[in-house]
This record gives sequence, C-alpha cells and structure tokens, in this order.
Amino acid sequence: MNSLAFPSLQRTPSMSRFVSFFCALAALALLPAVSSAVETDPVGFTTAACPANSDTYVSIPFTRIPEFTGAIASISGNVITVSGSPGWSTDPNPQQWVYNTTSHKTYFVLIGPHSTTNPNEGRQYLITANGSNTLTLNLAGDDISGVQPTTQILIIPYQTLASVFPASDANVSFIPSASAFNRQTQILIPNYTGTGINLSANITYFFLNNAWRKVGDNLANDHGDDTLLTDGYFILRNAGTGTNLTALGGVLVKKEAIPLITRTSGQQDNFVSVTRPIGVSLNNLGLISSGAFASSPSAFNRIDQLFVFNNAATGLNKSASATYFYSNGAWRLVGDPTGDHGADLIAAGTGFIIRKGATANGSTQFWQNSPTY
Amino acid sequence: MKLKSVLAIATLLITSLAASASVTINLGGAELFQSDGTTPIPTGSLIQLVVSTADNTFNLPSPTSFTGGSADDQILASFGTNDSSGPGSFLQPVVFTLNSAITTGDELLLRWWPTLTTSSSSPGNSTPFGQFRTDNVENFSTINWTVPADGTTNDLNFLDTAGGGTEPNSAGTASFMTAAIPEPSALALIGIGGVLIAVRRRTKA
Repeated sequence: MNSLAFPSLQRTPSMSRFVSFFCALAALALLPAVSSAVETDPVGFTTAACPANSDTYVSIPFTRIPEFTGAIASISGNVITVSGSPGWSTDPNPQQWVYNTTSHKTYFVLIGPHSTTNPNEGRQYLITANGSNTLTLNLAGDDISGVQPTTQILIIPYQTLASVFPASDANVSFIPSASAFNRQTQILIPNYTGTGINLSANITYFFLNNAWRKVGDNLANDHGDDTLLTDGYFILRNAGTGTNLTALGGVLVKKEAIPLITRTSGQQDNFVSVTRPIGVSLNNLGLISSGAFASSPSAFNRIDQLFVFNNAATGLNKSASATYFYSNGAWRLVGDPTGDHGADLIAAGTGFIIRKGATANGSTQFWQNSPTY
Repeated sequence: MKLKSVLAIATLLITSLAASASVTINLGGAELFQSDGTTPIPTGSLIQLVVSTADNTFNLPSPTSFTGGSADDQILASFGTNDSSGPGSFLQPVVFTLNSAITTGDELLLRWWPTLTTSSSSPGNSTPFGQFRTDNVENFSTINWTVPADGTTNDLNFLDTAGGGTEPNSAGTASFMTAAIPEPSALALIGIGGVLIAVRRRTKA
C-alpha cells in the first residue's frame, strides 16, 4: 500500500483556477493487478471562475472514480477478456458497462501499465458491450493487438453534463435559461471530428426546465447524460452573470495518451486538455518526448503549434492569447521566438488547441503525458 | 537567405490558405406565422438561411428557383421547424464553411415557407413565404444578420412579439408570394393579343 503526496501543487491565480484540496484516500497499485478489484485513487477538486459575457475554455482535470481495476487475460480484435471472474451483469439484464437509463453512465477503458512494455498505455476506448468477463471496445481505428496479457486496465465512467453540472448546482456553476432563445450559460462542444482549422464549436447545450437541452434537438429530450471527453475541453459561455465551476473527481495517476489527428493535405486542429489537477509546464507535457509534436525549422515556418486561451479575459469567440511552437530544442513563443518558454504552464482545467501540420500519411499520433506527481 | 525567408513565408501562406474553417450559427426563430398573420406555421415548415455572397441583395424566389435565379445568393441551410419552443418556432445549429464566395460580412436572410417542407425541390407558383433580416444585434443574438468571423460560434434569433422578442408580429408573417414569370410563348401570345386589340380599335375608329 503506497500513500500519495502532492508536494508540487502550484497555484495559477492568473487563470482564476487553483487546486484547492487533495485527499489521498487509499493505496495505488502501480503494478498490474491480477484480479478484479476496485481500488480508490486520490480525489480532489478545483474551482474556476467563468466571467460574465465570456467564453471560458474548460476541461475537467479529474476523472470520475474508476469502478473496476483489473488485468487483461487475452485480446482478440477489439474484445478484451479480463483475468478472474468478475461476473459482470450482462444480457438480458443491462450490460454493466454500457450506457443505460438506470446507471446514466457511459464507460471507457483506460489501458494501464505493463511490467515490461505497453505501446498503448494511457489510451482510452469507449466500451460498446460487455460479457461476464469481456469488454468490446470501439477502437476508432486503433489497434490493441500489441497489448500484453497482465496489462492493467481501469473502467471509468465518462464525465457527463449532469455529473459536472448537476441541477443542484444551478446559479453557481451555471445559470439556467429562461427560454430556448434567451440562453444564459451555454456549453459549446468543439468540433472534434471536423477537418481543418478554425473549426467552430458545433454542439450547444443549455439548461432549461431542469435539464440540459441541445440546440437542434427536441427540447423535451434530456441531454444530461451526454459525455464530455476526458482529453478534450468545452467552452462555457456565460451571458450576463458570471459563474464558478467546481470540478470534482479522481486524480488520474496513470499515463494518459491523447490522439492527435493529422491529415496529408493541410493543417488540423485538435481540441485537447490534460487530465491533471495541477498546472503542467510545456516541458512536462510530453509532447516532444512522445514524438507527437513536430519541431519547426523557424518562427516563420511553424509546423506544429499550440494555442492557449486566457480565461481571465472577457469576450466571446476569443482568439488564442499565446501561440507556442518548438524549435531549436526549446519551446518558443510567437512574439518571443528566441526565449525558452518550456517552463510556461498550461493551467489545470483549461483547454487548448494543438494545430498539427500536414503529415506524409495523415495518421493519428498519440501524445503520451505522464503525471508529475 | 532572403530567398529562403520568402519561400518560408510563402509556404506558410499557402498552408494557411489551404486550410478550411467553419462557422456555427445557432439559429432560432419564434413565432412565425402563415399569410393570415395569426396562424403559426405548421410543424416541419421549410426554413432557409440565405446568404448574398456578392451584392448584398436578395432576389425574390420564383416558382422555379428558391434564389430567384440569382447568381450570388446561396442557401446555407434548409430545415424544418420542430416547434422546439412552441408553435411556429425552431432552434437549429447551422454549420457552414467559409470559402472564396462566402466571406465574413456577407448579408444573411431568414426565409420561411409555411406550405413547403425540406422535400420541396422548388417553390412553385403562388406559394407564400416570409423573410427577415436586420443589421441590428437584437433579441439575444450575439451577431447581426451577416456572416460572422471564421471559427466562431454565435447565436442569431428572429423573435417577434409573440415569440418574446421585439420585432412586430407582422415581421414574422409570410406576407410574400411567388409570382409566375410568363414563359416566352406566353409573352408572345400577350404581344399578339395586344397587337390584335390595337388593330381592332383602329379598325373601329
């Protein structure tokens, strides 16, 4: 049993966000588990001010609490068989790890570490079906055939609109809307699957009549169970009243691998975040060490770029407040192309854009981030 | 060295030009009326968002063309009302891509067709419709009725008094009707008829 300390917590008041509290609740099994068991990771919360009449680029720096931790026994295609006999609920009863209106949860598998090597460590896959000891995954084109038996996996519910913004939080983290046309707090979801750059958010939610509604859908439908990507972000757009968002959850102590889409014919924007409850420096993001971020020949010929937003600034549809690129062995800032900006922080709970330059094969590149705590 | 810099800048510019962008408009409307000015348009009525890409002028629709044969008017979105916020209302995200024709600042127009649906391929003759645009930012919109900047997400509403807004209900009424444009053969017949009448009058005189 290992206890976990957080000696390196940093405050980032400029982003109106700070880590408030951590509580190490239980031990961490850093080596692969060999049986079905639930382990509890540290939990915590952060708060963020979301100004009035403004867009705030928000991510949730915590996962929800993992509900299963175990080890892989075997893999066949997109089906994982786990070790032991967990006896998961399956047909004709609701499948335990598949969304249903009783649990209100949608689950993903996080591929954990292996004692030797694991090319897929940190990647996340949506669970589409389960048997009593099997998981069928949506690999979204990825391949898990290289993942070895005894590799650790965690099953974690996605954050949802209702888990992040429960109705009980009305007038605190969000302002309910009086009508569909006079919308107060809106949640804008970036166009994760769009092609190109400068992509507008294409899904909009708002809270009306005690539930989350979606622009374009029948307003009788409750979208509270719609998921929020762990490694993405959303934009909280407030109207005339500012709000304060408190994010709760489990601290991710595993590696996290985030897919970065590229294409052959031009640049591609990726709307991302890191699930870390403390600010992460550019040097510690892991973008360079994992080979997912291309170095640029010069400030005038930038290949990959990283755009951050100033959440303290007011306004809608804000432009990025800073643009970074990597050149000559260091992180550079547009406007200061010779300075080393590797210590600049990505504030906890914020979203940013990685604009990938064109690649020869247009393949998805996985960026692996390791916790610094 | 200088040549290298120029080439690098040119490469960057070309790359930027090749990249695509998009705009999202969360388009809302209430309450839209039929031509009598009192009956809400039926569920599923055709709604169109039209852009004037060049001359900031919108041709009136003709029986055979939603854009009246305009060279620069384009229909950005067509969808049916879903009464999402009461009869004669809609709330719909419209996502489109800016290009060499559709650019920021082009004027937008809302048009509604009480008797048509999204399956209608053309307006037809004597078909009622309504249309609206303004340069004002009003009724909980974040933009006026022009194409916003790329990469942005915006709210744009038409709300008349019945819909909780400031525009008069008459602005939400389908007050227009497509008019038949005479065919060339019909024009010829009219011309011949006119000549015959003139000849007859002259003969009588």
